[in-house]
Amino acid sequence: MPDVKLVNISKRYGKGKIIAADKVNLEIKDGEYFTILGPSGCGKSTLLKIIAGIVKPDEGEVYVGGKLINDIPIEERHIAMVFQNILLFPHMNVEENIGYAPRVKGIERERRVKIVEEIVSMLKLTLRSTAFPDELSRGAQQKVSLARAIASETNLFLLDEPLSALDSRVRLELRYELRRLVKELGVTAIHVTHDQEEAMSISDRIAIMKRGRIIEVGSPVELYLGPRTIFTAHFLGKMNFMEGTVKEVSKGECLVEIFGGVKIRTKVKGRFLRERVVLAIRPEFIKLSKTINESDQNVIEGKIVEKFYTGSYVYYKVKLENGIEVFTLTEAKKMYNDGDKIYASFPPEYVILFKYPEEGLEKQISLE
Amino acid sequence: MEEGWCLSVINIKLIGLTKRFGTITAVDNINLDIERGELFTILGPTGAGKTTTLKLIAGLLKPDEGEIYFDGQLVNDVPPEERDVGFVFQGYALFPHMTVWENVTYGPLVRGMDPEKVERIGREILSKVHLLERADSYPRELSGGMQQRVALARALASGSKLLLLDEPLSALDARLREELRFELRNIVKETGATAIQVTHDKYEALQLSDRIAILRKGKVVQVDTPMNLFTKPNSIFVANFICDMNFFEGIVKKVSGEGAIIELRGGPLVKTLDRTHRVGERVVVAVRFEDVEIKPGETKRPYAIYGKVERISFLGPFIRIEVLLDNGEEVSVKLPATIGYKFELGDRVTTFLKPTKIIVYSYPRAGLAEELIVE
Repeated sequence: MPDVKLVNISKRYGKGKIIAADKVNLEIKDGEYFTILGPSGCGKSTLLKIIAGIVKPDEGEVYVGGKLINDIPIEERHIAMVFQNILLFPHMNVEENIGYAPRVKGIERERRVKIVEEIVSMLKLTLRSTAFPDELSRGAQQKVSLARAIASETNLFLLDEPLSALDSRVRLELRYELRRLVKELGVTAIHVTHDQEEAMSISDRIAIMKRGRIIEVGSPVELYLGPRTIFTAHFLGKMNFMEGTVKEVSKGECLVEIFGGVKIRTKVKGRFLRERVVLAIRPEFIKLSKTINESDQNVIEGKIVEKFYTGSYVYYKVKLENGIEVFTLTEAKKMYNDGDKIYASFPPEYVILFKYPEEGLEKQISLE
Repeated sequence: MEEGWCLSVINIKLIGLTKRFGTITAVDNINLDIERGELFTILGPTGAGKTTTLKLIAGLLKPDEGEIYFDGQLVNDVPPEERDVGFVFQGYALFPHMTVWENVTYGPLVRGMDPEKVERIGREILSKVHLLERADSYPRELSGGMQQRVALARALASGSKLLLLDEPLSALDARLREELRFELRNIVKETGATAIQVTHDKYEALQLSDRIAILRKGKVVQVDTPMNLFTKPNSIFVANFICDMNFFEGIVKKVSGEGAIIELRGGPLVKTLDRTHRVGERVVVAVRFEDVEIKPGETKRPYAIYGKVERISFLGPFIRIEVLLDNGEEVSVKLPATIGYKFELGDRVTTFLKPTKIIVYSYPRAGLAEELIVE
């Protein structure tokens, strides 16, 4: 069965100058919806192509179902690929495109028609089966290419930015379809994307990749709420960072002094005493109010600098009294205006600490 | 910057603008007034005519009918190079033989702007798009995201009185796009120029714009501020496009002083404050994902609808839960992740559509499904 294992995979391009994969080790379980997430140029597509057999690794081994497949040619790997650029046969109609793999395999017409019918109903494709690709919307075209991949009856799906070329609305709808299909079919899917929300909403697990390296692997919730690296914290959703120094460590708590002598209590257990740290908190965890409430902790006075309306929620840029700017995500029920004086509270349980990186914070969170 | 560096700020008026390609009417009788210094967004699905509208304003296409006015002056016959428009396309066309600095300062220098001012603006804009330290690089040495930011910086520095931005962020990585979204409004506002942005991304539109026009099949269906569009969408199409919205078919059962009771398919009743529909009328009940309450288990309360958790999607700050209701329909609920985590697949739940948040539309002639098509 198709569990996938990559062992020490390395790949360089351009006379060895560009490292697309740098000793990558990954284990993807049978039936898992696994996503590789990273910025452009991080090497995620190369990894997918190595699994597919389109690109040969310089070093390392690829195992599918426990079998070493490094030397097995593409056509014998029985892997279905769906790309960002939709590759349908333009001269074939929907039915012929979907039924292509079964036909090549020599399955007779009657059974072929049945396979196609099943897939069409599974995908809820409400299309004329005699329509040609150029008569379809892009979303419908991508559905047909998915259908074609399903018809190939393989049990490993490699999806290379399958939704990126679609309209944002259509993209959202197809997202859920993808996961549903993979789970219904019981296949293993490896999905490559640069879209964090897409990755979080459909994956069982995510691997965060940067410059050819796997930075972290975990479930969406693990990575979002408890990132182990600054890069993951920054890449997977919005995050506020502040530099500070740990002043006191006690049982189950530590006290961090940030810019301007402001002290923040955190629930991080006794680490980093007297060390330089990076303090992080997500915008949705910062509480804003007009007055100081008894129960609020780590309260800092500030001023609304800017607001970005996003529907039921608003992003505020808040300038704290120590000069630091933070983003908050707040319900749009009570709206503040630019210049309003407010109190921002940082609940200790949502404050994360990282060791201050040697090469500096900026470098760590750089996306390119 | 104390004042914008745009040389003159203009307003734009489109009257009865129409453009056909063969049998397709890409732009169908569009009327718009865009104010001086406004950041105006044209939002709509692919094929709605957004880019065509932008090209008509730029003069890259000629309208079949209608007039385009810049500051009250008819420009239909003014060639594009004389319209003084800064254009940023989805694909970034930079001068390959010029450095980043030269690309950005070319426009204002050609225009005869004082070199000292050019120097100041160049530095300021490049630092805004986080590229000051790459000023001496050539485009080919930059990533796609960086090149797109140079293109943006060049248009912004140009001092043109009108900026046209065609999906300026869509070629960028999702994360970078989000980051630049917050910056873009600032930067555009500082130039002082009138700007028209085209996008199919509702968040981009909501966060950036002073006003938004929603386009559908070449026609403007609603023009308003982000907040008004979001809270008072005038049609099912707009509601579906700009909000995360649930839609249900129903029949008005009772109308009283305090609101109306509507029966959904399969019998559940919902209450709304909207009293504008008659008893017996067939309607569509719309409620945003975040305006549905959800509680574990089956709690007795009036107008509750029971169901089973069918799908849970983690979105970071939020969790989206899809519930298969006992009447066979689905409802999506969006919750802060800190509350939503306690639900699991298969859980029995009680949902409740908030009466103050429900919007009621007359049942559309073409059917609900037709109104919800976004492609």
